[in-house]
Amino acid sequence: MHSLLAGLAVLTLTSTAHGAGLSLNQSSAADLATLDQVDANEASRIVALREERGSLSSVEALRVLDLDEPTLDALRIGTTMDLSITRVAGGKRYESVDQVMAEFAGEPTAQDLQAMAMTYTKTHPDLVQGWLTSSRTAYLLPKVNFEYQKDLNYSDTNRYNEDLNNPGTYLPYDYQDKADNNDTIQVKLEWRLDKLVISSERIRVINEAQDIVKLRDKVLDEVTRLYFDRRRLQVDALLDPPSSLQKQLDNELRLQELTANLDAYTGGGFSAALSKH
Amino acid sequence: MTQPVSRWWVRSGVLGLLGLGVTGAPAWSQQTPPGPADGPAGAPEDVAPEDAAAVVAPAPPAPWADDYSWGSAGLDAPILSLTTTASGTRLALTADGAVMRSVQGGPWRQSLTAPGAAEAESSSDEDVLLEAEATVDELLAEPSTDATPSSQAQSQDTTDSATTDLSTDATDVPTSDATQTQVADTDLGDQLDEAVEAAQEEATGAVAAALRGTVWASGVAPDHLLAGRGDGLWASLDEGRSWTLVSAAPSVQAVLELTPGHLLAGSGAGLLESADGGRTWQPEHGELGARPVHALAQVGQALLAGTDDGLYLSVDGQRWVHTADPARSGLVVYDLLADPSWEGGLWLATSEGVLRSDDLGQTQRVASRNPLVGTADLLALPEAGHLLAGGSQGVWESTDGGVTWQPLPQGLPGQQVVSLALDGTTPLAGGGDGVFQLGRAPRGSRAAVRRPEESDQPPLAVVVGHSLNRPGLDISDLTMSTARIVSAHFAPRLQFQLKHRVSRYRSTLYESLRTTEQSAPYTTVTTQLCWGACSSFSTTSYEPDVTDLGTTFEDLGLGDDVAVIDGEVYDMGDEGALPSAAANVAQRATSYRTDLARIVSDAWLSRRRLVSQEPSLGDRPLGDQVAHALLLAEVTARLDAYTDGWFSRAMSPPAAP
Repeated sequence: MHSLLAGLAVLTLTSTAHGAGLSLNQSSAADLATLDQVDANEASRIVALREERGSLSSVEALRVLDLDEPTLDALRIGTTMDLSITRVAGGKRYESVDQVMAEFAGEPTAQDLQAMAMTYTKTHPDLVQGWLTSSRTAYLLPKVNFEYQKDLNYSDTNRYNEDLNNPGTYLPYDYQDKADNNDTIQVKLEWRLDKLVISSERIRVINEAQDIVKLRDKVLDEVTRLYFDRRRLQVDALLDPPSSLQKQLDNELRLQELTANLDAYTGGGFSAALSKH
Repeated sequence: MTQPVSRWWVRSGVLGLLGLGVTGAPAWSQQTPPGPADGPAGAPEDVAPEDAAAVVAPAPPAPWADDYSWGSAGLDAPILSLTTTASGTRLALTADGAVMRSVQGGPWRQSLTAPGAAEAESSSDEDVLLEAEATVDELLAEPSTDATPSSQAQSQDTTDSATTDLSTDATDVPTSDATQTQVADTDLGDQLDEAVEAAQEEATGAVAAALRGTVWASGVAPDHLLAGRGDGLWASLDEGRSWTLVSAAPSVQAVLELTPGHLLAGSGAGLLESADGGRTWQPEHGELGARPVHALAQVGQALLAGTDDGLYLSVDGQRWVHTADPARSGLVVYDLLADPSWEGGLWLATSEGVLRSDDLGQTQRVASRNPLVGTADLLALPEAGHLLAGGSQGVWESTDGGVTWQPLPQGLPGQQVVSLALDGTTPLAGGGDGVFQLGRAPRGSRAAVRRPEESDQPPLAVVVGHSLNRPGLDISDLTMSTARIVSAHFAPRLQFQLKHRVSRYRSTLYESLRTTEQSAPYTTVTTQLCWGACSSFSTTSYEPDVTDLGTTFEDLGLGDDVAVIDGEVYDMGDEGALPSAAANVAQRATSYRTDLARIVSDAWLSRRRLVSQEPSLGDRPLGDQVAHALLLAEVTARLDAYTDGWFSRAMSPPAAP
């Protein structure tokens, strides 16, 4: 792609969604901190990320900073994105499929992207496998019951003897008190061997695991579609560069949209991977 | 075509000796398909009689995909429908509504002009002359066919009278008039005049271009043809030389010949019936109403109609009943094909792919692991069980009655095929790229054709198996067999209890000044196996609950161990509820696994097809090659997604030590 840049005219447009917004790629940390929900620390982290990468492709790319949703929303509303249009003069001639594909050698593969999406959406097979293994082996552990019991009984008694001079009359002769102090410690271990055969927990975990697999399939299907839509757009721009500015603008917006969607599914991982290359 | 000796031996010999009939299994299970016109492919025709006894079982069918490829049949216009006549005339309805005609594989000539296209054509004298020249060519070519001079003259007389009849009848049709007969083949000069007149007439009454339609040839009356398109139904009684508008019914898509002269036609506005060989048509009112009918078939005495609303059945030809398979609501039926080798059998090309029914459509099932979604047309070949399916995935071939399919991609530039026909023994395919015919691939190109089996991807069953056995989809743990339920009841609770107690006692008698103190520690260890509740060990119960159930279910008196599975509430504390809960979870999983198997199969087959097309891409533009490479990468990525990345790992070469 770098070879294309020689002798090109560059046109820069700014799309403003809500009137006067801050440029995400040009504003200082102090300016960004003026936005609601964005504190100085977050603003400085955003600027640091931007300087590290050179530029940011969208607010979704900031997901790698673990910003919360209100902060991301504030940035979506309060900032604008720069749209760079590269006018291709003549273009480069390609002779083979490999030559075309080599232009994207630095970008993550579809499989890399799928791994990012699985991790970010917490639908990774290892997670599901962990649940299933735990539910299978959980009943190897006993149910433990620990009990401590303390009984305190106190009683006092006046002891009487019958007056021999007056039969039927009782006279106190002594006073007795008694105290019982019992301490009981009890430990119970119970193994539910029947639950090793089948348990309600296992059934429920399998049910939940199914939902996770379905969610993962849906996410990866969408991520794959977005990835190759984006790649086709890139290939079209190489092999058949748009002739009009309007068409170029449309293509660039579509490219940014697809990149942002991929960032949304990968927590900004896609842009991060792009920047590494 | 000689019957394979091995088949005769198996059917008559072994089964005869065993006293078994062959009606228990489809006849196609023993047969081998012949090749197209230029010879059989793999059929054991050359087995010598003396070797017959040595043949124990027939060789597996040799699919055409091995040695045959498609070649252009000379027409590259987009096609809606194809048909052939017994005398070797090919007819094609083009996307713009014109009917093209080719005699004995010769050049294609326009037989019926496209609606609204006549103005441009009429302005060109050259086109008119070319059309006339084509007619002359046909007339000169006719004697070389199997018609004798006397029979040809007879045919000519019949044609003339039939054309007149049609013209007369056509005056009864609201939108037609006598001048709509386009080409008469009586005299070359007359033809030129009438062609110019017809073109001018059509130019003044332009109609909308046809979106869908069909061209149909009678199996009983060889010269009788019908062509349905947007502006109505046209008939020809002279094998396509002249056409007459016979009905205003739009977009006739299917024609069924019940008896000689008794026809049914499915149109975009319902069913039509003709009792006079197609000269006049009457709408058939009934349960079908004005519902578009895409396909018609006769199975035994029953009639079947395929619509956007599934399948309709009539056992008396009068009343139609919706045969709704509850498992397949919303089914759209594009084509119907009665199994010529298995009475009562029916294949359906539907929105869910190719289905099979053996009970007049009451139940329909996917016969193959690959349902071929997108199939538009089915064609039964002479050998039993030998089928072709054409659609959005190109042309596929089955030699076992639709149980397994393999692609026939070689030579087809595009994938979209909408119509199939058989010219003698030569299959024809029509679609967006024109008309193609199947023939033996050139010897040099066979080596270049990469057989799907040689592709580098793992077998379908293995890929589907990996997909279905991913963590979370394995349902083996949910199989609540009787033995498992019983074993769960017989498995005890094992309890171990350690109890240590220290009792201290003190008594003081104050007057007697006597104090007594005792301390008595004791420890007990108890082990217990109990089935059911262990009452003597009752403790505060704690059951881990992975679901946050709130208080709602407690309010309902369901206890605190409740699970909601697929909308149903289960009291999981009741062990009796576990089998039904497990069954519900398993049912959910099975439903998804079924969908998944289809998705993965489709992706696997798509990838295999893409791989098999690679050798033929060399001459295509770079953009097409890159698009192909991206498709291949995308379908590979999808297979990775559904196998947790196993697919690519399986295809990667092992790392060097």
